[in-house]
Amino acid sequence: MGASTLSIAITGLNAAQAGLLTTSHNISNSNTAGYSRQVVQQTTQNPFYTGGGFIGQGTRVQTVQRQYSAFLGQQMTASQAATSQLQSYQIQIDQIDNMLGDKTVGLSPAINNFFSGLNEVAANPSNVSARQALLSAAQSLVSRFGDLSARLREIGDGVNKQISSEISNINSMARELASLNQRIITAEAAGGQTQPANDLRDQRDQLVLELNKHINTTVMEQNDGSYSVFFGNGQPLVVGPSTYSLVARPAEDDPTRMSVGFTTASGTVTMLPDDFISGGALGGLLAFRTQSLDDAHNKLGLMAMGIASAINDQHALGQDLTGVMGGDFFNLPNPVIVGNAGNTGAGEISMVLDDISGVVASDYMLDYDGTNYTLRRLSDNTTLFTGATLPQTVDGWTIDETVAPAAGDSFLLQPTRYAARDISVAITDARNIAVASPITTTTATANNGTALISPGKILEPLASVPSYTLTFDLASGELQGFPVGSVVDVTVGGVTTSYTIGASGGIPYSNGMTVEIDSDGLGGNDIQFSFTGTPQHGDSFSVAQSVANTNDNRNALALAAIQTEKVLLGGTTTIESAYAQMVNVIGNKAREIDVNYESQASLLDQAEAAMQSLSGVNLDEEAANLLRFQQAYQASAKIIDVSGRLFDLLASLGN
Amino acid sequence: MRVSTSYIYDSGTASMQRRITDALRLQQQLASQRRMLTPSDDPVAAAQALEITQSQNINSLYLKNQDNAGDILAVGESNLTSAHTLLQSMYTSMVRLGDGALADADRRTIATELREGFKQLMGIANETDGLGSYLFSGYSGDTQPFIGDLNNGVSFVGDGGGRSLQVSPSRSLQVGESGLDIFMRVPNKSVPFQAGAVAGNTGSGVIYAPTVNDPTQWKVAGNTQIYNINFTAANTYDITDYQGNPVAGFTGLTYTPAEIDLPDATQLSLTSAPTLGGTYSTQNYNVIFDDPSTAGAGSYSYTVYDKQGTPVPGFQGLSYTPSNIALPDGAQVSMAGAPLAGDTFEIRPAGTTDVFSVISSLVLAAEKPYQQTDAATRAAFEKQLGDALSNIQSSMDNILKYQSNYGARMKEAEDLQAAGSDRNLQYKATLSRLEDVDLTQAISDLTKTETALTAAQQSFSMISKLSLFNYI
Repeated sequence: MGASTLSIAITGLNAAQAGLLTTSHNISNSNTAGYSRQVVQQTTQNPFYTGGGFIGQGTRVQTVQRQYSAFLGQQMTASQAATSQLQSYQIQIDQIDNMLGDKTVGLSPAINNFFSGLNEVAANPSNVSARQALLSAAQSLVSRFGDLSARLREIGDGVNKQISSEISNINSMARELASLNQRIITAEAAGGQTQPANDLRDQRDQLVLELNKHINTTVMEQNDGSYSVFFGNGQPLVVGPSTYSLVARPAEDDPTRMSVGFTTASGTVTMLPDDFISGGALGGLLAFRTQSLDDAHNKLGLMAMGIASAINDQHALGQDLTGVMGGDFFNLPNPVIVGNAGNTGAGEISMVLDDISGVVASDYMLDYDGTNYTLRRLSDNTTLFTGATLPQTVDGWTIDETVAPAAGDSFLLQPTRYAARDISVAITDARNIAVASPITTTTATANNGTALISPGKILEPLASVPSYTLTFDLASGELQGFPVGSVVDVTVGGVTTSYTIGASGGIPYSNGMTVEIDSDGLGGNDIQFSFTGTPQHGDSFSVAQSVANTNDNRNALALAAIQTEKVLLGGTTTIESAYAQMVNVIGNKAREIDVNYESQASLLDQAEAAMQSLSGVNLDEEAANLLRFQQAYQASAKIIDVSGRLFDLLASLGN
Repeated sequence: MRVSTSYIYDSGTASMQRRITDALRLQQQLASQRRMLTPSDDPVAAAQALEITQSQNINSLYLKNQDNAGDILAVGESNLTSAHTLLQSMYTSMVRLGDGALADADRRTIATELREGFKQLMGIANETDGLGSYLFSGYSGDTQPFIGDLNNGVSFVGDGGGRSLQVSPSRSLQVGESGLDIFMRVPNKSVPFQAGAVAGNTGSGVIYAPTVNDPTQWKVAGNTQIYNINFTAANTYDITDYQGNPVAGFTGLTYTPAEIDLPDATQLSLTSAPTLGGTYSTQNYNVIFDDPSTAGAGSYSYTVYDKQGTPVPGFQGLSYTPSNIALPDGAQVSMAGAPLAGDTFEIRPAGTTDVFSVISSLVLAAEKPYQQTDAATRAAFEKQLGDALSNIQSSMDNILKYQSNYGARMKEAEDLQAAGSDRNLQYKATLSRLEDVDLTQAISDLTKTETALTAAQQSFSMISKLSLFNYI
């Protein structure tokens, strides 16, 4: 009886001691990241049967349990992955956002200075210093484009480097996870799979949480207690004690982009599309690159392309100080075309600008399956055409093959991506700015009628400048002197009539008529002039090449007008408002990311609060437990004391 | 709910950090005076601010162009004013030439004055702007537009262009006018219209002395009419308009040549316009048109001389009335000679002349001897002076017309400037609304945040002190 009391007391002592130990463990780990508070599970010993019923045999420690919920844990890792993705996106896009933040250093002042220079030249066409100032303004515009493009490429390079380092982090965490798996299997097997290895499991759960900061994963616990970790849509990263590694490699379709590859069990590397990977810093980087960086790059390029093309087109209609038709003002950037690294043929694709107003800020993917070409616009993933023959004109570009590709080859077409980097000023001599108009019209002084010829307008670049003297013939009512056989389009009151010039060389005269003619015979009407008033018989009007005029600013006025012309995106947008739109899009995206990040971060907070509420250590609670177990210990000790006294009592009976 | 001790610290720190972040943001806004630090703070306002800054810049460009336009126009206008004043004083000098009693030496003095005036006028017409470009050369700014001198005539070598400046999105303001229009395209006022035979006529008919009988009717017609007098037979004609359509009431008319009766009962028919001093001979007589003062309006006075040069009695100081052809619109021409069927005579508007040739021909004539010459030469000079005066008047009118063009444009540039400055203010106001921080709001927010931060710090310090360990 006494021995039994003693042994019961000892079970109590042991249990209290286990409680004290666990409480101390909890207190000392109260600041350990990922630590789950542990609780001693106490239960009664099997009772001793007597005729008088079951007599208790004391207590025993069943297990030490960590307070952890797999459900809460999953909620937290998922929140963590989403938060980290948004955070890494935010860090990247904030760089662009800040770059565009100050409107005095953005693109806007440079564009404005350029047009201001053009207006200055229009005001002082013969002033060489105004022309020189225009060239400087053009140079600084071009270098501003270059700076912004370089900054974006820098950000892109940074993204590439971070992708590599994220991948090496992920790989090393995967290896750590695998080794923890191994240790947990071993530890728990030693206990016959009955007792959990609490602290190792905490470490592993913490590691999964850390891993989710880099990439979104899903975890499945196996029967042996090990975790299998998957990413993407089911690619294994860790299975039990073994790992699969990720590699960072330049993408096959675009070697300037670092992309993620997956090493399969056989050791071959499969490249994964960017949208395969979500969550975590890696997901954020990839999403930022596809959604914002590419777009910003292409939008900037579109502006560079737009200004170069619009200015060049108008410049070609003018005449410079030396009396020569205007050449290129800017060097129009060439589209960049990259063949896929896996292409088998020697195919070459060309891309030529057809109409700047049709151009959109996007890259394109051209695939050839041996029969058909398929062209996809990458900004919205739309298939623009599928067909066997090139050239095709889409989105303002004419795409053609110069060398036919082999089946299965593909090409990445980047018409606007590098335009801001590649644009440059073609003119070096200020005299070559085509400020004047190449034709001059004159109403002869000796004319008796009131008819006047308008100054004339150039519609297309002229291969040669015409020279007409047009004379009014009263009897026939014709304005004569056009080259016989040429076609003249005459518009009166909105109605256009085509005349093929007959032997008289004339067309009927009407007040207010507008005449368009293909003067160089290369197709397409190239000059336009109009008449007002009533001519008299023999009145004459001449159209001739302007001499190397200095004060004629007609083309400069037309060039300056491009500032307010809606030349981009189907004629809806001026060059400067395209920039405002870009700032707006980046600003909106940055704001969206900010807001999403805030809400994800608060979700993460809530998940963490719930988790902490269950698993966190409360020192007050532990202090209470400390007292409780201390008292239990003292009580059990008292039982031993009592049991000793009982024994002593019995022993004294014999004396 | 259980609360873990570390969570108390974590959430306490996090909430204090949030307050600090808010305070920092407000401080940055206050320091930079900007509401938006990056476009993401308010993407719509950021894009709007950019667009408005662009509009503001463009508006400033136009303001600058309006300034430039005003300057260029002012220079042009002041030159035209000088030209007008100069022509006015030359006009006065020319009027003095009409004094028949003026000695030749005095006439030459006036001619010298006019020569000086001519040089001055050349100077004005060849004036340059501040940058050395010729004002009136059209587009050819480097080319001196008017070359030549009084003796050899002046020609215009510029072009008809007029430089414009863009002064508003929709308005391009012409700031230059070509000298071609100002000085060289002066409506000829010495004759009301021109009349002449068309090349290829077979008859000897001539038309001359275009006259307007009914100025009101002529003015209504606008003085731009072209008529053709078509002879269908020797003495029958139709008048057609410029499109060849017969003019109602002017068809099938008869031309009767005016004839001069001679003492020997023969008749002389003139084959050319009678001119002062003009002599027409027949077998026995010479008919000389002399002293015009004795003839009535539209008539010429003549005397018949025999071959010895003696006036025939009874044939002195007679009046010759030419045969006139009435034209539509209250005009008429005189006709002499014998036109044949198929002959056509053309009536055209007066056309233009240039101010330089008007002056130079008058000066050259005025420098010739006057007092010692015959009546015919003097009469010719009077006629020339009259023509010159009316054409100088016409030149001044023409200059005035362009001067008022300049004036109207200067006014427009000024008006645009006023509107542009207003717009600038509006843009500034909008930009300030979009971009500038509301100081009162921001300072009040900052104080609020500061209070909240202090509260968070104090409550945190209180809560963190609570521990059971303090009591066991």
